[in-house]
Amino acid sequence: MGMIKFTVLGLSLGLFACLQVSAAGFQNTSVGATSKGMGEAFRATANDWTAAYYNPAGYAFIPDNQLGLNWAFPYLRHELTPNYGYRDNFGNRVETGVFNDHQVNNSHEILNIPSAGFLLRFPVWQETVFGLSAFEPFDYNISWNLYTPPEAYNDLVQLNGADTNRLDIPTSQFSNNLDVVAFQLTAAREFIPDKLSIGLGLQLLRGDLVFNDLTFRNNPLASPVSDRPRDLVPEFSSNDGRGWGFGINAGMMMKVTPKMNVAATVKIPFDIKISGESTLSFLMPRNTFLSPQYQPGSEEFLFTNGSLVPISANFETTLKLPTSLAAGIAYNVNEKLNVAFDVEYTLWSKYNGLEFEYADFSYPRISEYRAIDSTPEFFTSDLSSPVEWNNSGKIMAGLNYKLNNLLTIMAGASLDQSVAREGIAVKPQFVDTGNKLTVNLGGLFHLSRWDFGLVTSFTDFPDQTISGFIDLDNDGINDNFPGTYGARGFETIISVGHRF
Amino acid sequence: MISRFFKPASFLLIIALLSLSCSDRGSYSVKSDVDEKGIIAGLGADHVFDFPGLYFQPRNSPGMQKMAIYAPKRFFDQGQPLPVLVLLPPAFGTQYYYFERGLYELAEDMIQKGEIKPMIIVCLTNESSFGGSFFANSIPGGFYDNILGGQLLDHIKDRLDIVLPQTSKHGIGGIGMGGYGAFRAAIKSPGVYGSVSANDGPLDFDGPTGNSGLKNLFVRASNEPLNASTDTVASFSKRFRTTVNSPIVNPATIPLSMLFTGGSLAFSPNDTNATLGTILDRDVIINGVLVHTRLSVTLSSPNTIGATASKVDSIFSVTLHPTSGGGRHYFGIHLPYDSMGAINQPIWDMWMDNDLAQLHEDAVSNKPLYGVNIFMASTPEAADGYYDMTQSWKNYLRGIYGIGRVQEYSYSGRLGNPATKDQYVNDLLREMLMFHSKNFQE
Repeated sequence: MGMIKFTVLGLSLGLFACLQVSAAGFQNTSVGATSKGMGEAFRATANDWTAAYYNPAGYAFIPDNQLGLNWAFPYLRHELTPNYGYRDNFGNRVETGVFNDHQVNNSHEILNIPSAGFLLRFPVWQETVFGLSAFEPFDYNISWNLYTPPEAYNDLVQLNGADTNRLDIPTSQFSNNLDVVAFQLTAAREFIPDKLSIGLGLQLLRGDLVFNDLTFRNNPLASPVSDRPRDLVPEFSSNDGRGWGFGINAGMMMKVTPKMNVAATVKIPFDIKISGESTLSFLMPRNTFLSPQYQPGSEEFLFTNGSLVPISANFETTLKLPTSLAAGIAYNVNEKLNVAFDVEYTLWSKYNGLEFEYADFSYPRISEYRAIDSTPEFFTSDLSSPVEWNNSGKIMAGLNYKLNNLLTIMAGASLDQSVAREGIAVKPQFVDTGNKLTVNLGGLFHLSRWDFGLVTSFTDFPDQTISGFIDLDNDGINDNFPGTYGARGFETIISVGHRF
Repeated sequence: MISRFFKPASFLLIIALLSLSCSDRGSYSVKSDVDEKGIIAGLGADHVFDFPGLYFQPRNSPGMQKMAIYAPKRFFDQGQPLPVLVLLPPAFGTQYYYFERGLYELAEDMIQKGEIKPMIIVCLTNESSFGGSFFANSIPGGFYDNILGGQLLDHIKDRLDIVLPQTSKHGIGGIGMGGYGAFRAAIKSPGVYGSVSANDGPLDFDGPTGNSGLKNLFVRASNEPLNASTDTVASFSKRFRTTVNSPIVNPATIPLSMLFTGGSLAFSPNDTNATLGTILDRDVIINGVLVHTRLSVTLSSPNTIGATASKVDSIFSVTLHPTSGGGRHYFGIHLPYDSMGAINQPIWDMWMDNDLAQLHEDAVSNKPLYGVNIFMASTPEAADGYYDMTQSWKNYLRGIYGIGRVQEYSYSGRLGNPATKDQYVNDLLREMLMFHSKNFQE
């Protein structure tokens, strides 16, 4: 009875806390089968190698050396019904070629996120547990095909590559493949035996980013070259880069009673400077009636002959990663049942999007493209994908129940507050439609000193409708993508662990 | 023991993975295939017809009416009778004006999707020297009342043989000056067109107040710069001779001067009642069409306005045939304003005789647009006061024919790209085609 009261009280406090704070973004939640099965309410349990991610202090109370490995298979099943058209003062929509009013899904892809680690006890500073692990604290991967130009803009375009005489435009027009891998060296020890432990993880962060975007630039030429629908020139940008950074992951765990643990953690990843190569492809208008009137090499010719102008460049951008604070409590109801409850608060407001600064431009030196040099501000301007996110809170609750010596089952749920809950600058590259509810279920099979885990989870997103354009950085380019978003997420994790 | 648990675990794992892999994702490439496009836009886009009414236009020696004709190839090849839409361009527009703004692709797409009925679309060029002569009626401007009042459709019917004959299957539309021409044709020739569409243009010469409209442009026109390379004497008439004679004049620098020059050729030419004839000295074939080529004209019983404060002499000339005295005849015009931009009332009255409302009141038929469905697109951003003129004309028509007969489509540009002139023609075309298609079905 006391346990029920405690649980109800804890959940109530957690929900209250969630209402008080604001917290998700591109955080990865797929490290560890047990932790995922418990809805990530794992900070005060932290009894396997994944404690490196959830709470390094947990290592100190793990009696064995461990080796672990897991693969997460998430996939995002999102939908978008675009409403991407400029509205005039009378409500008429000026079409751009975006698949308006059609429900479109993101590209079908089951992702594969591996992580691994081990921990060993060493007689250093009395007894200290060290660990080395690699996991992804941040990960996001999504791709959309949402555009083909109006026939009157350029009738040579195709999306299927069937005809060699036609133009192929990118089919992954809005995409984001962001990976931040942490190589973490962890050390933890008990400062009060069987009572208090503290752990510290030093991270070497590797960031990889492939970010594709479609930007509509104002046609700089005069009428009739720039008359509708050739007033907006699509620029397909593809940025592929990488960089290194550092991070700190620290935590404490206290055994308040023989049955109850409490924990607190802080994760501080530092900014990562990403640099790499970009391809900026401009799909020029094709006007077979005007083009013959202009000389090859002239701006007018370039803006009427319908070519796909490829410009290569180097880029640099800064990936600003958020600090997060978390606390957890775990209670061993009996020898078989462990329940846990965590809260986390992530400072997502630090992340304000990506600003790509380009340099070292190059393009084929043929007469057709000569006019690029006379309109550099059009072809070589920097691009940005700004967002305006809020800090967000997350509450997690879970349990694990040891059925017998061979099987432990886990169940859990989490409520994740949206970082974009004001609906500002929502884009296909980051689909966060609102507060998300995730439910998890799985089991851990124990075979001698081996543990095999299987967990599956489902995340429900609310639908969200974004109306109208917004230009956050006042660069004359829209920073959001209006439409109705629907989203769901599925994830399966398998793991293997060995105690020795 | 191991196999006892490995088997169910493996089974569960496979089921979980398969359940993720096999779900229906729907389609994410709605427009994965672009529409197939024929090699030629129906009949192609360069047709020249010989109209006697244009023999005296400047720089139109053969008296040609250039036009580009769209016909949906599949229906055309099948010989299926089709309705006809005549589209008139604004000032400075050629027969390719609408094609340059995506008419072909738009029509093909809309027909294929069933958004509009298949139709023949005839696009005319505007008068070329001054950018336009309002599709009106005069010796030097051309006799468009006759051409648009039946000659053109007769030509089309003779050439194509697939034109539906009913009035309801004939539509006419235009943008800017073309809108004026479309309404003028429908008023002057009742029973020829069943539907009229127009975008903002000079549809009410003196505006809603009677003292605005084109009148507001007089001072601006009189202040337009001369061509620096050729005009050293800032004479009033020099400006307009330069307009005609110097090919290096950029219409963008003196658009209003050219507008009023073209308009004066149509509404207030110096030669008013001269009887002109042509000597057709030879026939030539242009683009496969037999064209009677004029080498000279005959002139008899000339009657002119005479001297006024805004007369411009010698805009252009023609060679007279020996039977009428030989030599050259010089055409002049009278502008509705003088060198200071002040109104020349007698000349302005001649313009007002061609105002749409006046034409409507002068029509033989009491309600010349009776039974004609009307579509008017309008934007407050339109340049040169065309919005007010259009609204005034719309209100006039609604007062006579009722609101239901005169459909209005309001629009504007987007931020950074206002709809001052031609920027949104492609979007307007969509609306115009849908309007006419709907009327063709009635």
